[in-house]
Amino acid sequence: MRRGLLSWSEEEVPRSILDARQTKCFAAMADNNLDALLVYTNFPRPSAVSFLTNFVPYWSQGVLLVLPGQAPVFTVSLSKRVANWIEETAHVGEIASTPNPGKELGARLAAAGAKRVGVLELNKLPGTIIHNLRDEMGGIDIVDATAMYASIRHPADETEIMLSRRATEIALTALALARPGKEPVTASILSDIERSARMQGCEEILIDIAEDLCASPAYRRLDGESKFANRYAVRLSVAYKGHWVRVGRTFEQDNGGMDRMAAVEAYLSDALPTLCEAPPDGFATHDRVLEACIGSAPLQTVPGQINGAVMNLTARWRDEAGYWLISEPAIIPADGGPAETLR
Amino acid sequence: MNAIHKERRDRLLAAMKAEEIDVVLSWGNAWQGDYLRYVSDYSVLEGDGIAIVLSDGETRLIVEGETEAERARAKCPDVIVEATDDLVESARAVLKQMGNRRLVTAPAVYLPFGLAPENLDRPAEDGTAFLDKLLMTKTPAEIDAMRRATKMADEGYQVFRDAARVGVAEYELVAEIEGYFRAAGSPENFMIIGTGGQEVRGMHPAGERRVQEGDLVTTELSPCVDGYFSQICRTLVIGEPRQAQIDAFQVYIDAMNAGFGVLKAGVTASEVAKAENDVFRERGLGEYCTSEYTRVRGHGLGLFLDTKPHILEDVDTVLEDGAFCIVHPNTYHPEVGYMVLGDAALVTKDGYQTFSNTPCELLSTAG
Repeated sequence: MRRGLLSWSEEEVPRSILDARQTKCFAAMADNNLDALLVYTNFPRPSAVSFLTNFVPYWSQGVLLVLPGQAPVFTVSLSKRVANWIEETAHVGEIASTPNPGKELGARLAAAGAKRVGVLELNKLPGTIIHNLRDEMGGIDIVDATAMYASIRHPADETEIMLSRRATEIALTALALARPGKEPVTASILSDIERSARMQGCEEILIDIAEDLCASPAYRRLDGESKFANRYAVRLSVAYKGHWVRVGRTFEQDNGGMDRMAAVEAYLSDALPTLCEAPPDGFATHDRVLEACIGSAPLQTVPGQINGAVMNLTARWRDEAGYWLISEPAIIPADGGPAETLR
Repeated sequence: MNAIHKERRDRLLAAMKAEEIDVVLSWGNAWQGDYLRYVSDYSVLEGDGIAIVLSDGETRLIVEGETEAERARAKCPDVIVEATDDLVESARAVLKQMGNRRLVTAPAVYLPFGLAPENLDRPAEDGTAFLDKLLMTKTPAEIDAMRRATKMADEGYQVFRDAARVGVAEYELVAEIEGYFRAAGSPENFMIIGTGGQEVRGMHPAGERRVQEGDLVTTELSPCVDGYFSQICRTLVIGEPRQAQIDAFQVYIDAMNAGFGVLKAGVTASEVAKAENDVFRERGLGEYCTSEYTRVRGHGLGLFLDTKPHILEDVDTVLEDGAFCIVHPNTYHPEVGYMVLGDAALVTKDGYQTFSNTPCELLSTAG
């Protein structure tokens, strides 16, 4: 929960873009016969509300109420003193501060005459919200709207692509600090990385390490202190203005390391259009994971390429010495053409 | 399994046996992770997680996506970890294997709708109070972790104080602190900040505003050690404090001391809050103790940094020997703006014990 810069720059995220996304949502609601849509947000699930309003929470929870053709109402379990800050960072029509979002939503849905209400990721919504909503407004038909929301999430607009590029730039600059050359003590290196990313204005950075790729290909979260072995990897998950990317690289400290790292970079330039379907020369594929933002989570595993989406690729390869890991974001053109770099 | 979690697990299994509970299901995420961490020793970084613990100690952890599952397997080698793209369905599938064994779930307020009792094809009871009892009273090992977290908060505040200079942006201040905590080995920190004068109504995440001469710079820092959070709240003046700022801050010092004055095992959260608020009321500032201007007058600390009980006048929870909480009469002052002051304390039979060494006074960059 280490939030950094949280703000709304209308130069970077114009109101017109958020209006366009909300309009797209209204159309999908009409197609799905929904009188209203509820979109939940909390610290680890900020992305859907952020997509529609720019708002990213630093604490507590909230539910966005979308009624057709109207500016959304944001019901939030933060005290009223925080309302000014929410107004500064969220493109909504009204902020309703309440300790009981379900009750507030029930009252507003009843006033709007809503009969059929869609909920993004219904099964994961805190049950108390649904129970309190139903107590306030009986007889309402509540349906899951996860697929509907996913249908409007892509293709990425220019704003999403631009902010994802900025997140990638921040990550690459910070990740360069993990290159061999310093005392390979993890905490001091990761401290430099964290500081660099936040000084560049990132909203959040998650750091994973695989400190000895000759022993294990698994990333882990550093909790305490460790030392990097000869071959190691660092992966940064960086958010900038609500847009997340993962960038990871393998580093080697021995003499041949620089050549191998350069060769993999060259391979990445050539192979990114296919999302690295085949491994570089000298390596065999261990596994490959694709992630994208399709719901409330910033990144979630998806089975394959999504046209028009910012995708994040994590690939693991093997050679005789051990494993080699890379993570790289890319944008898939809306027509399904080759993936393009975000650098 | 590390020593602190072994101690926690032994307490949990003993309590399950005493209450004749066969299965505990806990939900958590990177925001509210205490119930999950207590039973599994895992703090989720991305997505939600569910831990299912059997009375013989077998523990299953279900997390969303392979990225998180990999982290969980590395951290908790004794736990059976499952990656899923449907958390609720995966949990239901595990529960199906449990037959008619007695199941409790927690925390009720955030439990996913899909796991609410009416959506399960088996009986389930609310286990929130059962786990709260374990969460609210700390063992010696837990207290030691919180003591170390408090020391880290003190050191972090010194870094903050050194970095808070005219011209620095709020987010750059946060970068300095987070860099420090990362170097110190704290995997998590919660931090909000306020900069400015009378117009500032509260703290918030870092923005782009740059610190100016005469600003009040408020912050709360909440690093953690072994999963246990402590917290410190202080107010810093950029430059020489004005007399109005000094006078205003005396209310916060007196209110915090009043809260600590009644704090001991057996008192309620309400009594502590009332003691703090009475100081404001006596000075004609009672309205600034309402939800228009402030949230809570303190709260519990532990595996979640804002855990039960909230220190509020309508909360009757009894603070027991071994509870750990922060007393912080943070609120808006109409003459100078938002001010904060708070220290974490261990509740004891005779009173309380604080571990912080940062002076409880209006601090300034002037000296």
